[in-house]
Order: sequence, then C-alpha cells, then structure tokens
Amino acid sequence: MKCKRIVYADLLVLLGLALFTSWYLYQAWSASSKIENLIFILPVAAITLLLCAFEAIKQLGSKAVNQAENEEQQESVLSVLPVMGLFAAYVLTLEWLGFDLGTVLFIAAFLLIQGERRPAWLVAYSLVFGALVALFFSNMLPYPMPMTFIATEY
Amino acid sequence: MIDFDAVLLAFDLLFSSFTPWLVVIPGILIGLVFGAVPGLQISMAMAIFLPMTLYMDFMQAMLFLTAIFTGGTFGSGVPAILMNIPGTSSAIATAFDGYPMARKGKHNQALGVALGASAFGVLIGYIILFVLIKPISMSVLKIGPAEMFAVILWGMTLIASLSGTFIVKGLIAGFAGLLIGTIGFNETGVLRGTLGSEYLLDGVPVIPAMMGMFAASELLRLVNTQYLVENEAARKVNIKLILQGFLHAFKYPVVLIRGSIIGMFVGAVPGVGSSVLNVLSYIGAKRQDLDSLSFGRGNPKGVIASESANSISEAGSMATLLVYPKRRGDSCNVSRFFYAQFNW
Repeated sequence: MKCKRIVYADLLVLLGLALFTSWYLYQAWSASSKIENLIFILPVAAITLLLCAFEAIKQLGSKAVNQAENEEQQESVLSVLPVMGLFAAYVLTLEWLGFDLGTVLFIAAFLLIQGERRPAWLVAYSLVFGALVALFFSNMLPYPMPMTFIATEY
Repeated sequence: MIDFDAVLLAFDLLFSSFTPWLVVIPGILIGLVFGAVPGLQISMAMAIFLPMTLYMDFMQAMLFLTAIFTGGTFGSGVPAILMNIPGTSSAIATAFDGYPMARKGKHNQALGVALGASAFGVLIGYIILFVLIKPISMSVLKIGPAEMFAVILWGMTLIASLSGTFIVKGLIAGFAGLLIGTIGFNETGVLRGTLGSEYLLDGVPVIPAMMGMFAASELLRLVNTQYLVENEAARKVNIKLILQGFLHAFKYPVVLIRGSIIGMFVGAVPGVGSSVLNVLSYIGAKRQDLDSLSFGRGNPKGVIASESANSISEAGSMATLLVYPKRRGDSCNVSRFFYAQFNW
C-alpha cells in the first residue's frame, strides 16, 4: 500500500487540475454562455479534462514505485511541511501584518526551522535583511504595499 | 534592400561625438540591477529612467534606453543561473540548465556561457536585422489572426518535446496554463475566474506568478540544504572561469545562430515577447541535439539557446514597432512614449 503513495500523489495533482478546469469552465459559462466567451475556453477545458482522465487511468495501471525511493521522498516531503506551513502563514497574514514586519518574522522563523540557534544572529539577520528588502521593494515597486512601520500609500 | 544613404547618416550620427556613448555603461548597470532582482522588470527601469531622457538629445537617449534593455536581459539570467529564480520571464529557460550547472559548482562557467551567448546573440541578431529589416517589416504588416494562431499552436506542440517522457502531463500543464491566461476580462467585457479579486481583473500578472512558481518552489526545495554549491572550493567567483565559459559559448555556433534567428524573427511577431521565445529557442536546441536527455541537467547548450534568443528579441520587436505598434512588450511600450517625446 505504501508503495503506491507516489502514484496517489500524482493522482491528487491530476484531480486538482481537473477540479480547477471544471470550476473555471463553470465560472466562464455562468458569466456568459455566448460563443464569444466560450469559443476558446470550452474546447481547451474539454481537452484538459480528457487528458486528465487519460493520465489518471494510465497512472492507476502503472507499476508501484520502489519502496526505498518512496520512503526517501516521503521523508523529504515531511521535512518541507513546516516550511510550507510557515510560507502559507506569511502569505496569508501579509495584508494585516505588513510586508516589513511579516518579512522579518518570516526570516527569523525560517532560520529557526533551519537550525539556527544563536539569538543575536537570529534577531540581527532577520531585522537587517527584512528591513532592507522591505525598504527596497517599497521604493522600487510601482504598487503600494501593506507596511506596519514604513510609510506607504496602501 | 538597404538604404545606404540612411546608413551613412546613422553612422555619422553615432560616431560624430563620443559624449552620447557616456550613458551606455550607466545604462547597462541600471539594466543589470533591474534585471537581476526578481520582481523588478526591465520595462520598470526604462519607465523610471525615461524622464532622464528629457535632458538628453535623441541619440544619447536612444543609447541609454537600449543599454538599459540590453543590460537587463543579461541581468535576468544571473539569478536564474545562481538561484533558479529568473529575474524576468525572458530568462525562464536559462534556469533550466544554468541552475543545474551552478549546483555542480560550474556557476562561473554558466555565467560566462550566458554572457558570451547574450553578446554574440545580440551582435548576430542586429547584423541580420540590419540586412532584413525591410522584408521583416513588410511581413509583419501581413500578420493576422491565422498566423498568430499558428504561433500559439507551434508553442503548444513544442510543449510535448519539452516534457520529455511525460508528454501528457506536459500537455495538461500547457492547457491549464492557457486557461489561466484567460482569467480576467475577455474582449467583450465579460469577467471570468477572478474570485472577486480586483488584482486579477487584467489577468494573472506574469511576474508575481513566475515568482510564485520559481522562488517559492525553490525555497521549499532548498530546505535542509546548507549551500547551493556543496563543494566549498567551487563556491568562489572566478573571473578566469567566467572568461572560460564566455569562450566556451562559441564552441556551439549552430545553437548560437539558431537562437539569434529565433529571437529576432519570433520577437518581431506582435504579441510574442522574449518570455515565449527563450523557451522556444531552448526547445529547438533540445530537439535538435543528439544528447537531448542531458538538457535540464546542466547542459551549457541550454543556456546558450535561451540567452542568444532573449537578448535580441526586443530588437526584432523594436524594428517593427513603428510599423505595427499594437500588442508589444512593455519595453516597447515605454519606447513608444520615448518616440512620442521626440515627436517621432
């Protein structure tokens, strides 16, 4: 059962793409069912869904993957999960936490996960690097960004 | 075919004084910085520094903006090679082989190869353009929806060869990409798939999407990795090795010339920018190569194919800008303001 996990992961991605395609087709159809709106989306979505179904059938019939390779991949996925969670939290809280404060906290937490334990280094590096990045982007990007400490038109 | 009187006048204008050339190096440096920082764009640099051209004469301003663009296209390849994060979408294919080269400790050679290909691609492209500018302009005027459809179809069929043994998966990703490309307002004003977000009204912006795909995935991939280059001795920047890489690029003249030609001709097609043609050139090189399986694993030909095409792309586009001003890249749009500023 364990050996089939990677095949299931592939199937999950295919399912996600098929769901996105179906949802988008439904959205486009609801917005307007006129031919001008669907002339491109309908055939492309239909082909995508057909290809997803074809690939899913192919995957289900494929041979199981090597046990050792599977365990190795599983291990690397598990070690990435905390960073994925942290990154998701960083992106989702950016709007109210601000790009400057959010970036500093993200860098500090990331360093901590990566095994950095020197408090002075953690604070100094995340503060300096985060502040520099926030300052640079607030001045260079043509869009106003949410900031907590740096003045912005957001 | 070539108006030699106009050529003589142009050379006279270019070489009558050295002062216009003084802006070239600052322009290249500005372009390098904007190209090398992921998130910033070359068109952004051109737009920010456009007001400065008000204080320059036409020739100086032209050299300044061209230098920004040229520096920017090479600059975007630097983070693509070193961090797998293309500075702009014109260096996506550079990362395919440049980054594996860097991980093997061949980052100096990869940068040199990119520089050589970029410089040679621009030179060859401009020479061909110089001879063929008139017929290219004439053919661009005849491009219609059928030809545009043919270019899109070409891109789609090439996805199959880029995906290697995973052709169906590649096609699924390509078609899903086409659908994502239609998010936002359509031609008749119908709004699709924005989930109520005002940021998506004009579609999914390329740069943030690219950053999400490349930078975020690289962040996760590098978890538990101490250094990009494992070998400590190989981590240094070595000018000698960069120069070696620069010369190495010339060992593959066919890849170089093919990249330049693809960059110039496809770049001249309205609506197709450097973000598309660097991938087209890469796929072309991979398909023609006897050892196509080595592509994506640090083959310098992949870097050459991408860099020789992307540097010349906007020149092809610029050459036909005045003939067919619609559907241009952002850099060309800035140039249109520039021409308008000088009443051209």
